[in-house]
Amino acid sequence: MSTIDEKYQKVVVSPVDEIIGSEKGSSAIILVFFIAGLVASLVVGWVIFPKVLYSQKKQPFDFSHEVHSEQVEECTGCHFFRDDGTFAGVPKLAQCAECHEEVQGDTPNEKVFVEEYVAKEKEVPWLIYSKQPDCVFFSHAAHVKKAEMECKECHGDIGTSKSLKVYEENRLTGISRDVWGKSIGGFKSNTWDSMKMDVCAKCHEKHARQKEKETKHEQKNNYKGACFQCHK
Amino acid sequence: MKKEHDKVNKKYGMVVDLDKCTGCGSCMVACMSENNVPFKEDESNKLDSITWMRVYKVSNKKPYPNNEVFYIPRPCQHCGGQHEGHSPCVSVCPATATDYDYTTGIVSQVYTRCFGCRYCMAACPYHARYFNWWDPVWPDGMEKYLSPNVSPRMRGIVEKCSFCFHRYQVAMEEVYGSDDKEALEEGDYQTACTQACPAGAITFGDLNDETHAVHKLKDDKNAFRLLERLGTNTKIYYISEREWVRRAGDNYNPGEKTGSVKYKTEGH
Amino acid sequence: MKIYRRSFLALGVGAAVGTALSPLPWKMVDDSSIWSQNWPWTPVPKDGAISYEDSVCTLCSGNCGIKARKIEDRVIKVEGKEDHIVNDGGVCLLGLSGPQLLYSPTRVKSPLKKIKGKLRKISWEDAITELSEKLSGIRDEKSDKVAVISGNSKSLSTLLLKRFLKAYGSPNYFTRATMNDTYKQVIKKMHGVDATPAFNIDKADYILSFGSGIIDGWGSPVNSIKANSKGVDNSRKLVQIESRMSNTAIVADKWVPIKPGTDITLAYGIAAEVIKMKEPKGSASLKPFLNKYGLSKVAEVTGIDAAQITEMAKDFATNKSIAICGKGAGNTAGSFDEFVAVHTLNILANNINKKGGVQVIKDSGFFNWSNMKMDSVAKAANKKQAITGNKFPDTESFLNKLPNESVEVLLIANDNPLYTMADSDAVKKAFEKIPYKVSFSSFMDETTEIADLVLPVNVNLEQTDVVSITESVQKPGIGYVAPVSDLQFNTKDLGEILIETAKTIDGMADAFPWDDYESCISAILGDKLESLQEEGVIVNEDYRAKNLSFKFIAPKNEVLAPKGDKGVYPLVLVPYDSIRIPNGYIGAPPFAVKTVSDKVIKGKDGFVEINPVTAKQLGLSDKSSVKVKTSEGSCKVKVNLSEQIMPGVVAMAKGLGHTAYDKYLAGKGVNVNNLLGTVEDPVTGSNCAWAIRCKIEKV
Repeated sequence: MSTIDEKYQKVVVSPVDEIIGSEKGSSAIILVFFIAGLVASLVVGWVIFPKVLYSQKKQPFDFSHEVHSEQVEECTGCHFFRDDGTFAGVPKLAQCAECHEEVQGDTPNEKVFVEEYVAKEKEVPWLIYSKQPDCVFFSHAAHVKKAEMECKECHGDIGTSKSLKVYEENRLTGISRDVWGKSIGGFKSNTWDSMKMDVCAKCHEKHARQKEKETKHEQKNNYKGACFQCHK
Repeated sequence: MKKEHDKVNKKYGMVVDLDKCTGCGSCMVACMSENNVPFKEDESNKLDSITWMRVYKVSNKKPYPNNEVFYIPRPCQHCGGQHEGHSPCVSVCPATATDYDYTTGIVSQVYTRCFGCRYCMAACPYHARYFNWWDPVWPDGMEKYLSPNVSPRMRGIVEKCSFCFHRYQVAMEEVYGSDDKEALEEGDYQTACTQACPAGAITFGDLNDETHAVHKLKDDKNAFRLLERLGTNTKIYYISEREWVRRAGDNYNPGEKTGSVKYKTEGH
Repeated sequence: MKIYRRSFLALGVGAAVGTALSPLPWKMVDDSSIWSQNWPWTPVPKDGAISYEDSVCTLCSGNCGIKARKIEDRVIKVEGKEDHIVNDGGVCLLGLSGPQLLYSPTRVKSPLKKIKGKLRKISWEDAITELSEKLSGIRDEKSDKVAVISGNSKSLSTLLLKRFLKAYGSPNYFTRATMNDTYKQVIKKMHGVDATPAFNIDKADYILSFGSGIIDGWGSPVNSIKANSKGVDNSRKLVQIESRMSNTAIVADKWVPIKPGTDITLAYGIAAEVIKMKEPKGSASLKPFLNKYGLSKVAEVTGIDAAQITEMAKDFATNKSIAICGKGAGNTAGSFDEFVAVHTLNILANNINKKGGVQVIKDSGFFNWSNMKMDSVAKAANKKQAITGNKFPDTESFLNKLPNESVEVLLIANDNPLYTMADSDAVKKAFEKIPYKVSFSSFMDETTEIADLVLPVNVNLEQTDVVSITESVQKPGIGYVAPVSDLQFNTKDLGEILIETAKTIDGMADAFPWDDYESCISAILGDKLESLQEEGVIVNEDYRAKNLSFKFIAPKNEVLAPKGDKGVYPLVLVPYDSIRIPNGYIGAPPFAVKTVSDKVIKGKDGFVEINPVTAKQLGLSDKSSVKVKTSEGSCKVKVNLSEQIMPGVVAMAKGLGHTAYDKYLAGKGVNVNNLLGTVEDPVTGSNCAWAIRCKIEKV
């Protein structure tokens, strides 16, 4: 019986054994391949993809918010509200020229600005980090004046920056990287890390729920049917 | 929880005096100009001619010399539906591209969200919605007059009258930006068609606000709405002293009188 | 180590898992949807500060107050100016289309000169030298061989053009006669004063309109529509007498179809009934004359029920009434006799210079022209008569006489005669004889295409001018046309061109003593200029002409038969004005064309409106193709069966069938002017045709 079993084992089992043995080696290879695929695609997705997706554009010349915020007290000193409540955004040449009619400092950037733009009366083609697509309507007045939000809450620390960072433009959509956020994974730790619609919606809904609790009135419009609040 | 109170919520609407409407077409062009509505070489196929505001010519179908005619301007009717927000188009939109704005009662349309299924067009009893069969193209140089307050639409999506909602946005910016202005006044937010109408046939305002002209006008004994018995609960009221004109606003059985159909709706 | 197929599977699975764990697919989905929602070829209008600038619209003689909404330097919209004496916030669709015209690619972008049969770009300097040399060359011998065709405008720049021709030495200044010109002559003959009429239709209780399209562009279009609405509020009664139901007939309380051309008889017929009910002072002399118009005879001639005529007369006699005339938009001269007949009714209603009646408006005198210094050439030439004789210098009459006259140089401003005038084929032929034609048009229209020299003027929204506002039912005055936009192309104001040219022609400089157009305006307006620029308008408070005499005139014609042999042409073709189809010298902009009904234009096809009864007699059905023939021309159109027109009468819209302009306008429908002929009014000399006989054949 046993011999037969042994024989059987010898004859039949050993090839199986061999197979199992080789599988041990090959599964390692498979694992290596799996990991190689995994790592490669993770590298592609997390590292290469954003580099390919975004083109790097330089601003016409450098600008220091820090220097200017020493001269001008508030952000709205340059980024002002017009009389009709609309927000002027990036200052126009005429506004800058009020102070910069002539070269004031000794930085090369200042020289470029005065000579290339002020003297030639040419608007500076600034690349705007926070520019939203055309379908978006954003009321600065509602957020800054009415809701008394800080500029920083959406724009981050740009107000204290020494120089302008590289403008990254999404090659597919043509929209600034700052709208999606620096983190390609969409992770954020600060309120200003992204300017996507869900960020707006989240905040609006939070405030609506809070207000509902306080006033005992349904604030339906702040989480439903609110499309026209931010779209045009 | 209490429903949002009427005083908190506005309900913008329009009253059109059909006895004054001259069919001059100013409202149509004011709308096109205000809202960056495109145009193409041939606009005589009225099924694909985008006119958020369209003036229809309606006749009593009687032979000469007893024929009579009236003109009726038809913007989006901004249906409230049987329970506020149940507009025919909003209910069917799979993309939430069209929605009911509870603070103003305006039916919104977000072009970038729409993917062009056109369910809403099928659902709309007023033919107020238009599909962009082509990309909008302005002749060389004419893009200069495009307004930044309204985003131009692309091919493959549906668009319609928004009650010039961007004008509300602009007017509200002034309120938010101002230190002493608390709320909008009647004249602060008017639609382009209302403003342009040479005949003064259109009145626009908050139907809920007693101080607004529309509040009273909508209750005029000669006021009616289009296809009222569908329960669409529209925000466009029409006025005419002529019985046959009022009768043309809905389907009546023989012997049935105008004014007999008043759809009762919730929350209004 | 052996590599199996499975290893690659593992690689793939690993890559898939890795990709799923990376932001790539999710970000790509998001981005591609954003990309597909914002195609790069969909224009994104530039944002900026909003501003409003006031001006006056010059696209028609209504002269509405407008405000242009601008984003930075771009005009994005035209709106009506609130509280303006003309339009109080309202605006018509042509005015609203101002930005489309301003930025139109069909504009002439610089001066052009015909070289070897083609219009080529030249500089302004060369263009003005060219014009000045041309004019100087023939001035001494045949200065009166220079003629001007000018649009009927009451602007300062047009008056400068008139002055230019006078100083140059030619009496041949022609303009399209309108109902206003004819009515002025009626006032002159019946009241003995030089004055312009205005009609207080907003304050009248009963309005008898002899085909006047109160809401079809008549008078100052927006003002008239506003007046109509005020009338509706006051429950006024409007009776519209015409053979085709116009928009005015639609809003009227009563549409009274009338046999074409019998308005004079009806007006006197009503007068005869009115005088039976009340006999105003001084009307005794009228009585024997009115005896001719027995009720039954009038009913028979006009085709209107006797009872209805009596009712109209009764209403007219017992209310604060006004009778108005000038067919459609009133852009044609109309018949002197008809106007006299209608004005007789107004005299019977005792409404002259009264609230709700006809206002007789004297010149404001706001334009202070210095005495013009003329040299001997100019003085001699101005003793000569114009080609049209001593009658009204109507462009149509001039064009009729043109084949037998020799004109060396023709200047054309604010008009497009090759399109706007009757029988355009004949006009074209007459034009071919003129060796040198100068167009001041800003658009490449039909006439500009055949010009030898094109001096493009600034358009509405770019130009500076002063207009006198008289065609308003409220107070008259003057309005300031301010440039609200930068110049889009290399164009100039008409006044600027004229002053510059006059300075270069020997003997003319003294008549144009101003340094430039700007100083000309300030010299002419004097101390009024500042407040005019500030307010945009100066109202003439003391506008009514005084010391009117009253005189009745018997008509020469009782019926105005349309041109054509009744035997050959059994139907009457009525061209009609539609406010949605601007039919003046500026072609309808794309916005306007878009509003036109598919029963007026369908594809490229135009339509003729026919009563089903007439259609049945001719064996025609809806949309069937037909040929409309008149003694002057023929065209192919489709049938639009309509219950809104009398049997025996057919109608076609004006303003279509352009051959010039862009694809949004050119080639759509037919130009009804090609089918029309002219009839010279025996009194005024202007073209008084308003219809023509025609026949319709199936094709």
